[in-house]
Amino acid sequence: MTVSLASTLSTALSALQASTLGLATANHNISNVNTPGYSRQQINLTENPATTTVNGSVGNGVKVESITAFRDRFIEARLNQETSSQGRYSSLSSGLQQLEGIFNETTGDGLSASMDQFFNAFSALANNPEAASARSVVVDDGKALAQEFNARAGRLQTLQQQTDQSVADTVTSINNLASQIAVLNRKIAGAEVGSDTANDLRDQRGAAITQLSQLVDVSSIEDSTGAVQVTIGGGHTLVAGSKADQLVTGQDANGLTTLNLGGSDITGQITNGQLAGLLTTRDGAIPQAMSSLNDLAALITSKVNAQHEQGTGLDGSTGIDFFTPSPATNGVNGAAWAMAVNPTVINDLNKLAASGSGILTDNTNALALGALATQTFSTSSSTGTFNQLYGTLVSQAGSQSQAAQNNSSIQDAVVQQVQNQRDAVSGVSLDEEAVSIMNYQRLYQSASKVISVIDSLTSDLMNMVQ
Amino acid sequence: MRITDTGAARNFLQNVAIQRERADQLNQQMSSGRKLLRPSDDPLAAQQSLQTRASLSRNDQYSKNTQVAQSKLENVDSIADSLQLSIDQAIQLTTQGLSGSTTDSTRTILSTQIQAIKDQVLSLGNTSIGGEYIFAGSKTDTLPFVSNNGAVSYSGDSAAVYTRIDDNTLAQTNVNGQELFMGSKDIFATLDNIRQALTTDDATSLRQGLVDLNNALDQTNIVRGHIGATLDHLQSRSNDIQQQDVSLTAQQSNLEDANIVQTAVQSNQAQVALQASLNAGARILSVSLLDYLK
Repeated sequence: MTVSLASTLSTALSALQASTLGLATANHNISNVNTPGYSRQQINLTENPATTTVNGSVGNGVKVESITAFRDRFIEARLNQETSSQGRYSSLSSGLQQLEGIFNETTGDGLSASMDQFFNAFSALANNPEAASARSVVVDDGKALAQEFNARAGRLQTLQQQTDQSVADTVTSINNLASQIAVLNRKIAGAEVGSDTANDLRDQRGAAITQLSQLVDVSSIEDSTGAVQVTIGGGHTLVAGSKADQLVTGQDANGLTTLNLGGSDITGQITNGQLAGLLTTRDGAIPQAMSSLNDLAALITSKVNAQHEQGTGLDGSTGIDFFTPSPATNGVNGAAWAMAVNPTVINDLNKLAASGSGILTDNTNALALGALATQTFSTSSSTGTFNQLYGTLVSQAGSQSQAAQNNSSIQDAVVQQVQNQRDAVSGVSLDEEAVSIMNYQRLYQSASKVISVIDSLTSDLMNMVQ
Repeated sequence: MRITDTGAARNFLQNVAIQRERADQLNQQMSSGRKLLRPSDDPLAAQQSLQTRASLSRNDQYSKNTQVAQSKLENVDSIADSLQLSIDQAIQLTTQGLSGSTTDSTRTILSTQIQAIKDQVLSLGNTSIGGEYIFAGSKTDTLPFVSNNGAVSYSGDSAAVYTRIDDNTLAQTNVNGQELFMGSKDIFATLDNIRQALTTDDATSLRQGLVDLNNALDQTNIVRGHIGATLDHLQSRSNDIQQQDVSLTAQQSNLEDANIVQTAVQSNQAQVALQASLNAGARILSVSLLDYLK
């Protein structure tokens, strides 16, 4: 058997086809250079089986065996995990920065200054115990101090509600992504019949899982059909094959959002992602700050009241509370929110008990009340003067925010590094694609030349026969 | 490692963002003059600055209290001074009464003058400043010395009245009125005795009166000595407060204020670094093989 011009023509044709596919793939890569989750593709070429001739084996051109995507499953998994931590630190950092903003008194105004003023007012009252002006200053400064507590408790509660709203919004996003992943699972199973790989659908699904990782702790396993099973919250199934479950929200006793999946409450089991950051802020940092604030308000109320009750007012009254409500009867919870100067004292300044000896013009109780500012007391968590206890609260808010900000920027760098690693495998380089286009262009040009030569030879042959 | 176009762009953006944040932080410090803008900038400094502010605020009050105490004690001292003048006067009159050449009519005049001095001393004892009887102890609304048919009794109390001049120190702002006027020597009774002795020309009682007046003078000297010592203490406390304020303010500034020179230099460096990044990015990111293919 010999080689015919016709068979050479089909070899050239195979080259044309290969270069067209090569150009198409390069074009596809270039088009998706900025698509999140895209993995660059390449065509895999192989030789056509040769024809055996008397002169030896003659090649039959090129064949496109497959189009494959560059993807590293381990890097993808690592990227998802780091993205999850990034989501957590970033939302935690933003929540804690808002929290520390409530206690930002670095310019000098605020609760701490009001506290100083209030106790100074008692000290001033001692210089002039029967003066109505000195008495009204004490009451006004007491009101200002109570209002500082009220305002901070209110802002903490608002922050908690806003954070809770973000939790609910995040749940909506999670459910949307879960549905997307389920749909993609179905499409991939449908497309991957035989040995085909649905590269682009897999990229889309990978991107959706990365987005989901940003929101919540995700673990995903691919089964033999190519579908992934997605679990969140430490093993609760969100997506199985083409079926997506939904996170259902409920309300706890405090009116805060709870998360239910597959009938069980998983609110406390979210360990990563934006959702975990939000829940840590909502259920950890804010209640902790609120409790410290309540402790301090209750402490000041009870110590001031105890001292005030021992004194005597200008009208001979005694045993009167300066602040309401009494933590002993109303508890410590809500102490900061409810703190106020006793209306009895507001309505009659003579009820302010400056006298300690019972002689109405005596000043010793005013002195004792002023001295509370420099005495050391203990709450459940720390020990110090009122101002030091508040300072501890401020510095705690500051240091946890600082830690979260540091973690967040470190995690940004980690994610960036893993993304670079992923890019090294899966990313599109325009320079590479330009080279690839050039190669296929030359291939196409050369094969065309072969066809034109064969054409001319055939035509010569025909002319000869004529 | 393969470097891709999106990867390079991402790295560039991230680096620029970090440098922009740093430059912005320094600019905020420059424009506000403060390095402590929120507790997380330096949690420990935030706490310390609250304590420093509290100390400054208390010092402010202690300083006012010190002034109040000084002014009250100066008032007391000036009354005590008048009291001593009255006693001196009484000593002169009594001495005159003892002189052999003194006639009955002169003694009558002297006894009237002694009575006037007693009235004056009584009114000194009942001095009221800003509506407060300063010699009534803590019963500042009660007339301390009441004369009943010439017999004077004390209606105040012996309580010391204090003001706070330091976290752990109280300063007394009054003196014991009873001790000053009716202590070991009751000035009113002494003056009464002298007046009586002048009327009856009782030289022995007059001599005793002279001794008693001198004892009374000693008694007022002792009280004035206490006042002087307290005033000295208040003055030195007042100086202390000023010095403390200077160091507390410096401490607060260290905690809160930006070092402007250092910040300015750092801010400049940050700007330069940011510009360099932008410049490099603009050059590298715009280069592609495609530019060179015809």
